[in-house]
Amino acid sequence: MERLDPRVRFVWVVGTTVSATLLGVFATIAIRFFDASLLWAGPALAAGIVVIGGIHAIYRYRRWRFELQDDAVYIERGVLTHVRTVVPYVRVQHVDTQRSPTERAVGLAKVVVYTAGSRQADVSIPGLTPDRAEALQERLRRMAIESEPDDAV
Amino acid sequence: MPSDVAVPGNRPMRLHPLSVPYRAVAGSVNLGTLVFLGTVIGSGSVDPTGLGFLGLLLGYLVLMGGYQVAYFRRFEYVLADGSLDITSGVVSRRQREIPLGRIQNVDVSQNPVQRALGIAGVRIETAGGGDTEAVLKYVGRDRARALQRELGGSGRARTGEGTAEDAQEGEATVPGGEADRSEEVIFELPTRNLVLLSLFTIDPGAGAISSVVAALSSGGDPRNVFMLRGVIESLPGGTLQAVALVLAVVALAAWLLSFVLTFARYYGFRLVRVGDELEYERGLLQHYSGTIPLDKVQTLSLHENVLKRRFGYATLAVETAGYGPGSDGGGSESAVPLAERDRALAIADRIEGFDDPAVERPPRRARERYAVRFGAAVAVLAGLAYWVATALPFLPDPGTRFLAGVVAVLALTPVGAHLRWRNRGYATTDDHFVARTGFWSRTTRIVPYFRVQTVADARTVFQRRRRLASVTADTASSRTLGGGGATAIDVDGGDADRLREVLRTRLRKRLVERTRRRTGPRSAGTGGPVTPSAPDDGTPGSDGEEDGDGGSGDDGTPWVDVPGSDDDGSGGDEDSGDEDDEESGDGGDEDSGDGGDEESVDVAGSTDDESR
Repeated sequence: MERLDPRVRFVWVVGTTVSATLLGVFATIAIRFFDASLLWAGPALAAGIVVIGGIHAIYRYRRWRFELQDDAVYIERGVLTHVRTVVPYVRVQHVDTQRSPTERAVGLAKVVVYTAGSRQADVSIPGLTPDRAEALQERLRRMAIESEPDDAV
Repeated sequence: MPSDVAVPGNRPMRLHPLSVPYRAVAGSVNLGTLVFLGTVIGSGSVDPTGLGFLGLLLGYLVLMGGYQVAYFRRFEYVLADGSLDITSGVVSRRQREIPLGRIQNVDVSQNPVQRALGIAGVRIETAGGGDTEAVLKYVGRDRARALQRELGGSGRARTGEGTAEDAQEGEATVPGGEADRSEEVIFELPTRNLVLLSLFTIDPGAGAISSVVAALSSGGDPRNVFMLRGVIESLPGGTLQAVALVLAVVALAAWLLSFVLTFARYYGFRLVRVGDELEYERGLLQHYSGTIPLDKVQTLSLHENVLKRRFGYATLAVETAGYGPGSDGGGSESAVPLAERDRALAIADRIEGFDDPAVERPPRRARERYAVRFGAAVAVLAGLAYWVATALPFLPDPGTRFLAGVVAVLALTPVGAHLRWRNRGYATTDDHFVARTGFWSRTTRIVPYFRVQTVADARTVFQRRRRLASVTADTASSRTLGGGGATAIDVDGGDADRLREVLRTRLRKRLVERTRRRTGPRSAGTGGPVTPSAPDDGTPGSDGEEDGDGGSGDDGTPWVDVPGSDDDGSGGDEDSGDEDDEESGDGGDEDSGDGGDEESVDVAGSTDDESR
């Protein structure tokens, strides 16, 4: 089973921090209208979320693993809810590589696999080095073609 | 009935001429215009008989008519080379080509006015995108009918072009499928069933309409609701009784309205198999008909709510990637709106080769989970009610009676947990994955293995405590809310691991089989069977895995069979008996809530299993 690049934790924490900061700002503004003596609660809320997000990122990284098996991509992830996903190559519609600004900053990329399914229609594998992501994309593409272009919906 | 108006190929066609006046009038007479006119005239600022106003109105109508004429002249559709090409648009023009092999459903609808004019609207659905891909508003009735058939199975089969893709679609495209236009009525909704269905169905729209009308008619004073002031005031008793009465009246009105709506919607329901397609028609005022290609069916679902179960009825719905039941008002809702359970299952068997397997229930420890969950919900609600009652001065203080009520409801939680547990389960048959859940409204979803898109196994913290898992087999149904695929909830952890593998290996096997079946006779034409063997080679041991699930169906035991899963009626009393014991024991465990309990729960669970 392949694991993610450890730097992905940083990407996740940055993501949480951005949303936590926004939330903190809005909370602070809202609190100002009610009780100015409680102003500390906004930043405290944000800080709390960042701490929880950090812990979550650590565990998330520990749980995350994936494997290209004979006939399917197999993914294990999830901290509170453990999820194991099987995406058969036959079902892959297309494969993307994506890089967010944070990911570019730390030199990571992610691969997104799309299926025609209704619920988990896109499955993404984050925390890959750009080379790995590209190789993965190429490999998935080949597997999808090899496993017969059968049965479009 | 073969339509005499065939759809000419390779020749551009137009909409029905009558669609111009109809569209012009229907386009002008809408709610917005009426409200606008009403306000303008009602305000007295304009004289409705005045020349200026009438002129303005006339001008508006002419403008609308002109636009519709232009729309009509610009609209053209062609059935050629295995695709339906539509050129349309007055201001911005659009040309759309829809490969016939990609068409999922073709629906025809007619409201009473359109029926009088002999025109019909045609909607063509393909997979992908939430919108209808093409709408023909409006063509002649016979033309609509012919289109429905041409665009359906035989049309797809006949088109020589693009079969490399189309042929993947199913047996329909095997040469010879073209000839199969045999018709056969699969189901007609008897009046008795229609009435029962209307009684059983609670249309959410009716509830909303009834509430809104009630609110409007009350004019702010609830006693005025539905002009019932006299009745309400003549009643003895206080406000509480009056409130109850008003609620009852609103509910009754909603139910009556729901009855009427459902009755009109499913009036004259007929399901016919034409070649390799299903065709349904229904509707009293607004008349609908539609096609569902059998080889595009993604998921079947069997709906049996409490009432239906009590009287032995069931509803069967079909989902394609074009749309699912309830996805919109005009789409197909059901393959069988209401039939005796056996009948519904027989039809499911016809459509998908499915018969009713014994489902394996979740392990008994799942029942404890439900009881704990219900108990917690009751406790939270009771706490909230208590807090509200004490906080608000005009409410009576919650006394011993309140406490007694809470205890009574708590005593019911084991019953609720048992019912939920009893109505939940899954099965793996030869060709299908089956998952069932729900007590009040029980739904059994049936997914053919070769339709599975992804398999996911999710275990929440609470499920892990009891070694449970939820396994989802997703399909390409277009319906996102509550649709698409099937989820077996609270399967034993080990079973879930096996189930994942079963789904995966059978998806591959069935796909290979399908391809083989199709490419066999076709191989003379195209490249022949290139792919079928590839997946087999790539996956050594797949057979072993499949056999590992204990009866893969080659030997006539089609589903994962677990001893004791079939104790429906007989074990019922016993079950609830020891269930109570488990419950009281477990309630304590859950409260203390530390990791140490896990073991004891597990032990209890395993001994329970062994004892059976």
